[in-house]
Amino acid sequence: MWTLLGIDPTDDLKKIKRAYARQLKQYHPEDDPDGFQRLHEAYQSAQLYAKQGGGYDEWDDDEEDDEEWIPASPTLTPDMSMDEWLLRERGEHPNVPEDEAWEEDAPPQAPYCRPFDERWNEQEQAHEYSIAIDLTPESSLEEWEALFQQVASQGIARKGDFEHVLIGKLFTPTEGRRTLPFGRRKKITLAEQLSPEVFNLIEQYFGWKNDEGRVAPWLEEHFGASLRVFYNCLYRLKKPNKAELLIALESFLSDSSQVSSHAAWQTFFRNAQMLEQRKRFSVGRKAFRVLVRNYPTCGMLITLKQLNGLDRLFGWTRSVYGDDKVWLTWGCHRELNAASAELENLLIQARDYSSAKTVIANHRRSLVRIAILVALWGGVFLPFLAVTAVTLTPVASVVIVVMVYSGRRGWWQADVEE
Amino acid sequence: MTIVGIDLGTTNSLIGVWLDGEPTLIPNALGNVLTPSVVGIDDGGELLVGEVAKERLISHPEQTISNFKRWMGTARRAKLGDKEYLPEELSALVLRSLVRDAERFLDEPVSEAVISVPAYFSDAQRKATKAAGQLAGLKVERIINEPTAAALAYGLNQKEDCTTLIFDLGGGTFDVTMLEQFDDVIEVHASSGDNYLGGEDFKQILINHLVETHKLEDNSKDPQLAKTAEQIKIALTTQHEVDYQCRVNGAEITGTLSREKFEELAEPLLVRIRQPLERVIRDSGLELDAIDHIVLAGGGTRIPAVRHTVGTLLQKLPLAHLNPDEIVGMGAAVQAGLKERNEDLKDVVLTDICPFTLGTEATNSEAGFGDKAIIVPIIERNATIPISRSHFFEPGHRLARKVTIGIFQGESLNPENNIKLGEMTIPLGAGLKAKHFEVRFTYDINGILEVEAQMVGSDEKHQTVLNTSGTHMSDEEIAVRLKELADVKLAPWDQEKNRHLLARADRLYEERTGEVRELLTAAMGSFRQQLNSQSLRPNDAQQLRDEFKSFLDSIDQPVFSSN
Repeated sequence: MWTLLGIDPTDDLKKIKRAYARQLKQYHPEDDPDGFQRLHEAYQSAQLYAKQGGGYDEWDDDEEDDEEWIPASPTLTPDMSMDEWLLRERGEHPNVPEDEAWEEDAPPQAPYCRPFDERWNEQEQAHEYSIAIDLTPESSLEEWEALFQQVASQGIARKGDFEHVLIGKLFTPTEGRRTLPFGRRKKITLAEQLSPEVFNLIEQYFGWKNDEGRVAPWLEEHFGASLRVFYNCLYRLKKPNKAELLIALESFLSDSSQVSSHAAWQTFFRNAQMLEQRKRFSVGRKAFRVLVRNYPTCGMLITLKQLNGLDRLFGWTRSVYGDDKVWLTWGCHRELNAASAELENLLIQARDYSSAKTVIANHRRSLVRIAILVALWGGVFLPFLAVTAVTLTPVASVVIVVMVYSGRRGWWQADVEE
Repeated sequence: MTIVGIDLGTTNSLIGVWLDGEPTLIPNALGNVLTPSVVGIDDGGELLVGEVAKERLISHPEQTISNFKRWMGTARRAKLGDKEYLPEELSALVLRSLVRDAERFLDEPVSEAVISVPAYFSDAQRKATKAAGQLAGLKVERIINEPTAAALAYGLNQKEDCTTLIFDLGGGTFDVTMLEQFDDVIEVHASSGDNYLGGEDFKQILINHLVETHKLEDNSKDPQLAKTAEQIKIALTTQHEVDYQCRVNGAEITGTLSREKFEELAEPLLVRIRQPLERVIRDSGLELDAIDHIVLAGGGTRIPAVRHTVGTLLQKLPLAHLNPDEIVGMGAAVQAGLKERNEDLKDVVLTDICPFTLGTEATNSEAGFGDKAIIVPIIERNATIPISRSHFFEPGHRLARKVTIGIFQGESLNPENNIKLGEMTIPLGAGLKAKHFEVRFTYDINGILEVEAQMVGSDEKHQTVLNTSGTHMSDEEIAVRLKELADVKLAPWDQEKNRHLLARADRLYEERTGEVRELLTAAMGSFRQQLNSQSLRPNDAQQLRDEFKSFLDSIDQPVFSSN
């Protein structure tokens, strides 16, 4: 879109407008309607970008950052199943292992992210899943949480549908409380009335922020809700910023009761995940310093699995592509000088721990699949096929011959046409 | 080739042209740029347009018609003399008169025009306006929205970047438009309006008031009463109270009306101003403070109560330095200049919008509407044009062999509350597996909608022409009517002034009694006689007219006195 406008990405509305005015001469609405449409769309997206304050977080890079660029991997959402994850990750980012730190203990789940088109075809089935959402803007945070928990306990297949209904409920405009002159009421969506805390909660459970591509079409196609409202709500989300994340880490690691609690780890990871990967990685060194500082107290309690999770969160270790060797990034190495070499070993072990585990898990899973397939084929289809072959071969061959013959003459095709 | 810009208004029409680097309005035979949109037939079967016809509105109500713009796009026919006319035909007659003025002024034939219409005019109304142009022998490619025209006229005077709200309350229609201007780009953000709110409605409430207070029988159609109401309305824009007197059916009525009373009566109309204003501000996504200027257009904005309402709602004083009657005509002239790519305007780009939502009807049981059809918007209102948008649909029934798509304009979810523009039928190929199809709406810069449907996985396209709008005339019909209308002769241009004075004298005769009548009869007789005498030279004729005019002026004193 920026090339069409002929400028570099900017959040300066004035610049965008000037560029648009300049390009308009070239794509005049009277001479080049198609070109003009494209230009106007670019102009609108650029304006939206500028209005959202420099747009997406990936671009804003305000801190010292001596790290190499890490290919953006889809951020994990707490509810995404392992299969889904493997599909996305396999082969693409060999240096980013699965997040097993907390995924392992999530309830067994099936993938719910289906492409939109597929969902559309299954509309009818969706009916039975609809769950009544009768919460109002006044409902407390606890009530919302209770609702989400109830849904989460029903399994993920239903969760997708619930999400669908929820979006409809949130973004369909209804008569609001605000009264305009002459007794009319302002149309307002439920989403606009909710507090940021509720959205934070929604984000924890559904992870829309990192998956706009999945949610936006529902909004557009099914509810005609404006995307603007949706984006406004998303950007209102209370995100932990980098400083807050570090403080949280510090207090978390220094409290031994929290470090040993599995639930506390899960909550911590969920919150931390809400910050974009790039931002998290940019405080990696500072986070590492926190770990080193607290290592004497928490070191005894922390497990390899959790250490690996932290590593994934902040990007401390790097593996060299095509090599099994793992080492710490430079920033972390400098921090480590003061601390024991024990931690380094542990981290590298943690790294290995996860890769080894993944490989085994993958193997185990594919073996099971093959076994099931073999059993199915051997147990059901082969005898069936054998019986069919023996009894039906003469009949079938006659039918096939007739079909082929008549097909050439074409009369049965004509019949279908009628 | 010169292109003219025409503001075809409910009460008054203007014609302008881009001349020597600025928009120029062309005066009519009487020297006024405003030509009343009134059409009449005189006793000799000759066509009268403008002031002359307006004067005859009172003396010959049967042979004169006004306000026909309000029925544009409907099949309502008006009787004029012994023939019936469609509103587009009446408009064509006005256009013919305007074009004749322009041809005399420019000294060259005019064959192409840009005509302005209220932003909220539907597809059918726009097509009717185009047909009117064709019937007047004009090529009308471009229809421009009136508020956009006003914006153009205003915007060209404006050098720095700014956001402007145009408030256009004309004789019969009301439009609000928000636009932004930067670097020679005039970008319309949003338009809204009310097609049935205008100065005429304010007049109507005054008529109703007069009928009520004086216990008249249903005389609301009485031209004398209408004229009095019009005069009261105009007087109240400058005075706080008026005394009026008028003769209805031989009876004299007198009374006093204060501005407060008028505003009280007009309250229901003033309320209707607010909603389009609100909608425009909401649609453009701007805050009230972001509006730099408010520009008033249309004669209706002369009403103090209207100005006051606008001012209080927007918390800003409206600008009124441009003549509100002429601003749209000026803008149409600028658009004409843009259209012919005049050198002076080559850097100016105007981007306009489609002020209403266009969509199809469909059922959506998923969203809980059951089998009831609802509107699926495809082009949402205030989208910048030209625009092309599509939407996928599937047949309601799996075995359907064809589907019929209704095409609608309007904001309601319920198709019945929207205007149906047309429909198209798509056969669904029997052999195709996927029965999804894509419906594409293309709305071009001239405000013409094209609908196209295509099956997924098939190359066959179905296009439709929207022609179910009742009165839409095909090209053949237009050709036929054009011939018929050609028989109706416009009254000769150079006699226009004489005719106007005589018509005015006729009107005064009806209004007055006794001695004044006698005076009038004598003056009219001698005026006629001298005009027809063989020895008359052009200069003498002018002198005669001046004398007669000053005589009429001495009789036609304003009835009202200010208190």
